[in-house]
Amino acid sequence: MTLKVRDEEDVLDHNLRFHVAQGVDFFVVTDNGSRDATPEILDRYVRAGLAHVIEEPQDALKNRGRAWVTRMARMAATDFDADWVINADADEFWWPLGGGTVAEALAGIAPPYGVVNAPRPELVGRPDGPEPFLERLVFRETRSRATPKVAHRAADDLLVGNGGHRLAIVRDDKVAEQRTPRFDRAVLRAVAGTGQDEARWRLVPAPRWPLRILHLPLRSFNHYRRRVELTLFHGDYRDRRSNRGELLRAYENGGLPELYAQLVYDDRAVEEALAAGELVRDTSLRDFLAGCPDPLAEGGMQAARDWAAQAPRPSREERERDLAVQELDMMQALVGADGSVRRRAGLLKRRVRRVEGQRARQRERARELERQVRRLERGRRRQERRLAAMEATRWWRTREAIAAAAARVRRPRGR
Amino acid sequence: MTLKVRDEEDVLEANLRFHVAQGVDFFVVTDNDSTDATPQILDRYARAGLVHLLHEPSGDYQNVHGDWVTRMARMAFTDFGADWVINNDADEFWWPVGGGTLDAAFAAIPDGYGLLHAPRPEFAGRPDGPGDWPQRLVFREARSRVRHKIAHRGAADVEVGGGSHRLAIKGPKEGGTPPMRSTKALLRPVTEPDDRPRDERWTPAPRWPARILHLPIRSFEQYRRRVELTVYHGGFELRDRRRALLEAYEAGTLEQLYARTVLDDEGIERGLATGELVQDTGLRDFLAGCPDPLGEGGVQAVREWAAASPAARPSPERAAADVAANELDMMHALARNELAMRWLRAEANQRARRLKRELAEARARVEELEGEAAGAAGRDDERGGRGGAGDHGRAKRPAWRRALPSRRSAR
Repeated sequence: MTLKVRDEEDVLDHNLRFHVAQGVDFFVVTDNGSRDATPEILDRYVRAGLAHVIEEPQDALKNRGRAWVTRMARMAATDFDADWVINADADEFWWPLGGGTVAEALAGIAPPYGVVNAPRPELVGRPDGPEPFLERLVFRETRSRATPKVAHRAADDLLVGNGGHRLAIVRDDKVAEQRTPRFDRAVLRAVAGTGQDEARWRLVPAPRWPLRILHLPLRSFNHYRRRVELTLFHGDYRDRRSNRGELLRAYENGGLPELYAQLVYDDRAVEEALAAGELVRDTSLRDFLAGCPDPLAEGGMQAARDWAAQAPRPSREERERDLAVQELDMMQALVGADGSVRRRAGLLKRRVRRVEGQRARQRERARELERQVRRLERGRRRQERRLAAMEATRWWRTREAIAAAAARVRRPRGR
Repeated sequence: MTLKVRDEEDVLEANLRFHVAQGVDFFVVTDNDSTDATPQILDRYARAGLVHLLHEPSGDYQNVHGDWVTRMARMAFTDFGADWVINNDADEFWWPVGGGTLDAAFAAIPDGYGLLHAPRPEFAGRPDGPGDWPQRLVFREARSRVRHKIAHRGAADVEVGGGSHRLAIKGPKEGGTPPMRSTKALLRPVTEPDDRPRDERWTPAPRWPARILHLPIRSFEQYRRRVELTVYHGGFELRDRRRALLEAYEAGTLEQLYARTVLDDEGIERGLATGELVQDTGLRDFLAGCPDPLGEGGVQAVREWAAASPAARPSPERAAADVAANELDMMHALARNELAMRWLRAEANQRARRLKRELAEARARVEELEGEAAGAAGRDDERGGRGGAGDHGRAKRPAWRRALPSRRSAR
């Protein structure tokens, strides 16, 4: 598993402990300049031989984030012998549906498939209270609304796109060049020439979705404020227009508590959402973490896994129901993601058209100006030629004499 | 099922017979100006109450066929009560994978899913020879290489996108944030919310019980006719490859092109050896045995025959293997589709960036020229703008006038 972290002290230990128990063997972590207890938590795991940490302290998440994840994902393949790689964030817990562990779920993927899509419903934020967040966050969105993420078989030549979302695994350039999938008509094929062989596909998405990502982005007000600060001041997000600008104003005007209150569900909101079927109660993560032993304690990793293996499992019907719901959720999420890609492509197309129009106008204007400049230049040259011709006349050469004569003539008359 | 047809006499009857046997209840057909026996074939089915026929003589196929399909798809629901609609071509046979018949496969799709994707592997064209195409075309791609197609539940407002590959799912039109939340949680309160619900009727089913057997190249005669339709009657812009096709047609070299399009025995053997082709006699055998639904026993007899046919009852192992193969093919097709879209998007992105750069360059050039023009005009003014005509032309005046002592200073 790869993790990119920055000031995650409230959730990181839970995350590592959870995933070790779920069968994750090793963590490749990029620490992007944490200033809280994150490094100590990581150190413990590094000393136990369970994690490798790369320090990237500069504020460059926006532009470098993708490259960091890709490096970690490749490293998992080349240096740490992973068979599957999960590119996760500290607030994401990969939950196996249908019993068993994450490792078992991935091991159950048939060989021709190399990618597992997982929907990512949120455990919704709740107002701060005396209990730790795991006790408070026990309601999950029935339908995920964020883009799914993927786990993939380890490989040393892939690029992980945008935070590991969707089918964000991009092929190496070599393959991207052989791009032409045969989207055309048979009658045209013979005149199309050859070389249409499609890319070889190593990473085909699996037609099963045995994993669900429990996402806990909102855990407490303090944590929220810290994330706002990071996104405003340390992510190298120069784009402060639109929503980041508004967030900045709220931050400077002390409006954050109000924003936070809009984000979290109070008891009444939870009740309404439960009644409307938008939320379901889900205590699985809380219960799991309440019982799961520390893999760095006495019994070690094995004890944590043994504990996970005999943790209570859902009944067969529950499992099947859960899988059916998950399947529907996943298919809808893929449609939604597809739709949003199409819409973005549409927007892009319109923007291209607009810019094309602007460019055409500017070019027309430039041509017009060029003509004007040429005309003026021509006029100037003509004048210079005439001037030169005039300067060559005898009359011009004797002009001073004439001027003097004229002066002489005038002076007496002037007096 | 909806069909749009044009000169399909060699394949249409087989298509209708096959799909009736597979449980298709009714066909809405748009005939785009057929000049062969297609109308007679359709008439027979229309008289039997199995076909509703629309005529569209337009030669502007390229630009309007999407509208035809959408109209037929809506009609299938509003006028003929279809629960599922397959938007099909005459050379495509929807084959139920894993046994049973097609209607059973559709009936098994759980509520909540309104769309079925099906991969579309192609049967390799074969050189002309004895036997009709079903006898000759028995090798197909192991993995489909063209885009998949879809079937959808009946609805009055469905909009079928280009070539029935997808539905145009109506979402927020312009500029809206997508209904999925792509924003981070912490930015949510300062982001314009998108409350428009997603249209979840068109969720694609997570199982793929159908394979579209695609037979686009069946004989030289049929190939030549399709070429003619493509270059003369489709309303296509004749650029690039279509232009090349037209030239080949006019130069009389179509046979050579056809020879390159089909696979000879050696090509077949090579394809089988590399695993790119598989032998598939299912369609041939099915069509050889399948009775005419307009014959004596009627539709019922044909369906009973189909349900009892060997195609409907493979061994459990074969069925499972075929289901797995189709699933893999489908996931490939979807991944490829996604990647192709990414490419298109990346290309559009690149283009937008390049255009922006060019726009900036054009703007800079305009500014520079405006400066130059102002400068040139200024010099011109200096020279010519002093007013008052003298004995000499405007051009001479300033220079020599400056050389003379002015009247004022002279005084």
